[in-house]
Amino acid sequence: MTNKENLAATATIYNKRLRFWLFQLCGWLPIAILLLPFFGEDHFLSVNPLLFSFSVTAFAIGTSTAIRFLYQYLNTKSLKSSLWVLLIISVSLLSALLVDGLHHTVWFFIAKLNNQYTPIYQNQPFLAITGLLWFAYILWSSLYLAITKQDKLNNLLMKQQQLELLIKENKIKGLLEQLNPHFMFNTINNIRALILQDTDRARDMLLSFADIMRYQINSHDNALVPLEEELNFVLEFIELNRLQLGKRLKFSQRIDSTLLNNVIPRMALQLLVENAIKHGFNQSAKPAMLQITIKTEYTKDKPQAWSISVKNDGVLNNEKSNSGIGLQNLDARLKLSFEHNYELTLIEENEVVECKILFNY
Amino acid sequence: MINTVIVEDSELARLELKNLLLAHPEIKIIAEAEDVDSAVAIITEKSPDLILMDIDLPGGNAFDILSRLDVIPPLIFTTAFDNFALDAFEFNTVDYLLKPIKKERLEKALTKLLAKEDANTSKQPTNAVELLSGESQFFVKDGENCWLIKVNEVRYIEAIGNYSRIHFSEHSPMHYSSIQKIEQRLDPKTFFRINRQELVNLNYVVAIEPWITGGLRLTLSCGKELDVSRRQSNHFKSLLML
Repeated sequence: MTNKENLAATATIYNKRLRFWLFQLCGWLPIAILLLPFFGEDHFLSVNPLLFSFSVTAFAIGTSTAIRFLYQYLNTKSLKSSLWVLLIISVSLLSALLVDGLHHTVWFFIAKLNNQYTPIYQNQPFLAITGLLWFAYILWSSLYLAITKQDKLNNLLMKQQQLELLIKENKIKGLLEQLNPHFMFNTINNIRALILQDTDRARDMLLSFADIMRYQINSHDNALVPLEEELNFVLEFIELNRLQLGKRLKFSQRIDSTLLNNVIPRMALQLLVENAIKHGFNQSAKPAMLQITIKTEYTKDKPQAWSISVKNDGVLNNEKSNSGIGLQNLDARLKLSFEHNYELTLIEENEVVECKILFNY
Repeated sequence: MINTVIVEDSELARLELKNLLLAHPEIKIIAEAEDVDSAVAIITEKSPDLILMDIDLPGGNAFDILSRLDVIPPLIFTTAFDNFALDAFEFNTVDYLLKPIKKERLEKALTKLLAKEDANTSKQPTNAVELLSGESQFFVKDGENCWLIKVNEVRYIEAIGNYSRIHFSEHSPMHYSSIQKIEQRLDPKTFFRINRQELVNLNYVVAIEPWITGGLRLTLSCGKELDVSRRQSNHFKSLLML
């Protein structure tokens, strides 16, 4: 996350806190005013009614803050709406009883020290204002939950929109750079020649070509795909590249098949492989290695970690970073889907370049 | 027979091209190259009459080959996709074919090229081995732009330090080669070193007059005036005397 985004996030949290206390004030003020005549004295602006009202409202606000934490916790669970209704009613009743009880207990002891305060808890006996408070709490709870639900929905919608925008952008970029026209036309030309040499293989290659076209064209369907689907696509992509590269391509794969149901961003593996081919085979006409590894990563604290890695013979060249845009784009898409539970690395060791995505969610 | 070299990294693409060329028995494929280095070596060694060259190659591109060749034989590019690299060529001196190649398109490109070839060979039947003929072309790349220049299009060449500036048509690109080096490759009957700085194609001289420096002043067909140094004036006169 950049500083700017951090700042924005902090600002939202402050805004939400401010809003909460503003709503608290607006909500409880009428109750406090309503409690004044409820005290049952003619001059309800005298000391005792004011103390009574203030005391009850203070206890009520304190309790509501406690309920807020309870609701925040319950919000993370997915509960049925009938259960919510039951919860709101019972929690509100308990809170009302608690406030009333606390008020009576506290003023009972204060009145022992100074009996002029006795009416504060005796004028309205225990349970007298519970009904009013119960009603207030039900209203409070409903409002609180409605507002947080709306917030959650807005957040989700915003995230969804961001994701869609990114996919759209990516689709355009995808058209421009992902299956590049050179690859497409070279493939067609190569298949045309292959027909002279090996008709059966040419027919197979046309099927592969159709498959990868279909995968490309359907790319707006889902941002995330099962690894198995992407891998099948990439293997066909590699076979088609073999037409161009011939014996130069030394391809190998090591795949942990238990990981094939995990999801990755669509075209992620393709991007890594295309980069590897671009940089591994464009420097000279020598044979070169291309390797895909998908495996579990045994780390102590993250038992779920796994990784995708693509290796090629070659050296990292920072100046010619045409593929940099592609990787940046992939990084952005990974961040949206996996937040901070991934690592994208590009390293070179002993003239072998490795691009790796580590998932540790 | 037209001795032809194919430069193309994909074996299947070479097969496809050879198959297309079966319809043109006059084309004889003498060698194939897969990357930049081997292409330069083969073309230098075989000096073919025709090159069919893919633009994107392992180890670089077609321009890396051209800039390492002294003389560029007649050339047709092949490319899988309309390559913006071709935009570098200022005018339509180079033909290119899009892969997959249509046989009509190949035929047209060959006919155009071979017609030119015939005209050239009839005009200049013999030539010193070392010297470039008037119809020979060479490759010049200056910044983003490229040219294939025919020797007899060059009006004069100007020395700029160790480099030179080639004046032809309406262009004057820099060439990363010294004027001495260029002079050695050109026919001294056509190209005359009028002073330390300039080498002139005599075919473009339209007027000669004595000049106050004791030398001569030349006027070229384009209107440009150049001075022959006093030292070179005698040689110049003797060259033009009958």
